[in-house]
Amino acid sequence: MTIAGRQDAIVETINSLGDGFEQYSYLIFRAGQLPPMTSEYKTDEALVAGCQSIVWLRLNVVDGIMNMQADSDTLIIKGILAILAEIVDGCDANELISTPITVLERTDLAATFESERLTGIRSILKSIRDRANEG
Amino acid sequence: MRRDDFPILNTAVDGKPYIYLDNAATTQVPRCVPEAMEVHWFTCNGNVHRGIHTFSRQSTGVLEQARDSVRGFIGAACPEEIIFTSGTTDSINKLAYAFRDTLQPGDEIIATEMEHHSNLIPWQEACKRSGAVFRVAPVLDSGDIDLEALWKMLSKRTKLLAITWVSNVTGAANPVKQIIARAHTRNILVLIDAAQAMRHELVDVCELDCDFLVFSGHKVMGPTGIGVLYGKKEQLLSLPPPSFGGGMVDQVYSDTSTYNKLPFRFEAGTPNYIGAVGLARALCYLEQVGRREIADRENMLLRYCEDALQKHSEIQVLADPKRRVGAISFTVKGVHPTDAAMLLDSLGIAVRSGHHCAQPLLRRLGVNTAIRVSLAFYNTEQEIDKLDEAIRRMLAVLMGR
Repeated sequence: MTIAGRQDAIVETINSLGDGFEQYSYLIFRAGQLPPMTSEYKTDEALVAGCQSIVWLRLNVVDGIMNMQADSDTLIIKGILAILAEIVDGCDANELISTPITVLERTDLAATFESERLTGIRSILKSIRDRANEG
Repeated sequence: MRRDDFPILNTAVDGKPYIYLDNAATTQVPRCVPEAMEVHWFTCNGNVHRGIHTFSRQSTGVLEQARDSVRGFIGAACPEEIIFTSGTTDSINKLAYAFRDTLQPGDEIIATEMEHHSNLIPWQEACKRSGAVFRVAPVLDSGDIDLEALWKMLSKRTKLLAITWVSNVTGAANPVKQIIARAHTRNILVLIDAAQAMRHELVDVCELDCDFLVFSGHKVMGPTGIGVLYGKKEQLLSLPPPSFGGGMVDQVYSDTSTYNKLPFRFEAGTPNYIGAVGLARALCYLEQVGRREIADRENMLLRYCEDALQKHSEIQVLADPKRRVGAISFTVKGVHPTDAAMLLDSLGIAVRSGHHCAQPLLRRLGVNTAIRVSLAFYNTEQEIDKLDEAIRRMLAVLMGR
């Protein structure tokens, strides 16, 4: 599936969930599906600056294919990471460069995060884009 | 209790009533407060002091009436002892800055592990910059101050004890009258941080005999940006002004200046006179509702809330102080407080999560962050029942993952 297609499916799922409680519950459910990040990768270099929660992010590009591993100390943010990993992990880096990640903006989720947390999420998105650009 | 006075309490979020349980951070404002501020803006707004014109004279009169209202509310001897600031943090910083110049290397200042950062860092810095020694009195497992340890720390080198009346995290209420009396036997000045105590305790500075007391307007149903530094007149007179500029001077020459009398020497620049009007109206409102009635009701609500929280086996209430007022914090094993607070918010309940600007206390209690519920008299038992139900739903999601 294309990056756009993956995003459309996620947006449809989240928007069908109704209220904020159900959306957060879904993110917490998704957090449980994020593959564990081994502790050796949880280094200071992997910490994402600007996040209120602790977020570790490891991005690689191998033969033009993105690989994303991530973890967080809060489940709701971990759920966001799980969604981003579903979009990013295994996708073509060039496709990622040409396709903006708009999944949060197209749901109510962006509005539920206060500005500091949104800044942190934007910081994660920027890291993903920068890594894709580096190839 | 008087809920109709607070329009925001009828505000729905996502079509549902929103329950506000973050009153230790800021309280909601009764309609009469912005109305009083609006009257000032619309009928006599003019910059205060030294203005010849009518608006300035009226505005000055209203500001000084507000000062006298604050004086009356906290039982100060005279209005000169009431300094308007921007809030508790500003009050303590002003005091610490002024105090710093009086400290000698080897002098000591004592705070406690229970303090909000605002009553810790200014003293830490004052000591660092003056060569004085900063000491921190410990807290017991119960969340109470270790009084025996505190008594041992008080010495002839101690110049000031800075202590909160009520913890903003655990709600632990300190026996401040006893502490002040003990400190005075060693000629130690005492600053009381009353930010969290103003609605829960009957504050009377003369009865307490504290040397300084600070609080914020926005935690007593007033506006933000206004607060109070109370100081005994002789103590304020012994301190240099902490900041300089218009309003606080007497004579200014190119090479030297002399300073105004109290309280103006501590109020450089245009004071927040509109804020002072709002604060005075808020204090008047609290008097109308009844200070004893407010304290009793908030204490009853907190007991009710604590009982509800204790029934959840997954919840660990932080500390078990001898007396808890206003606020209660808890953790859930394996659950990040931010997740809990976000879920509760999505269920229409405002609580606070984080370190509550009291990292030493949380560290002492063995946690990094916690969820805090803090009540005001306008909250109801039904709202706490809804919190209880929301916690059940939150736990089902978080523990059932």
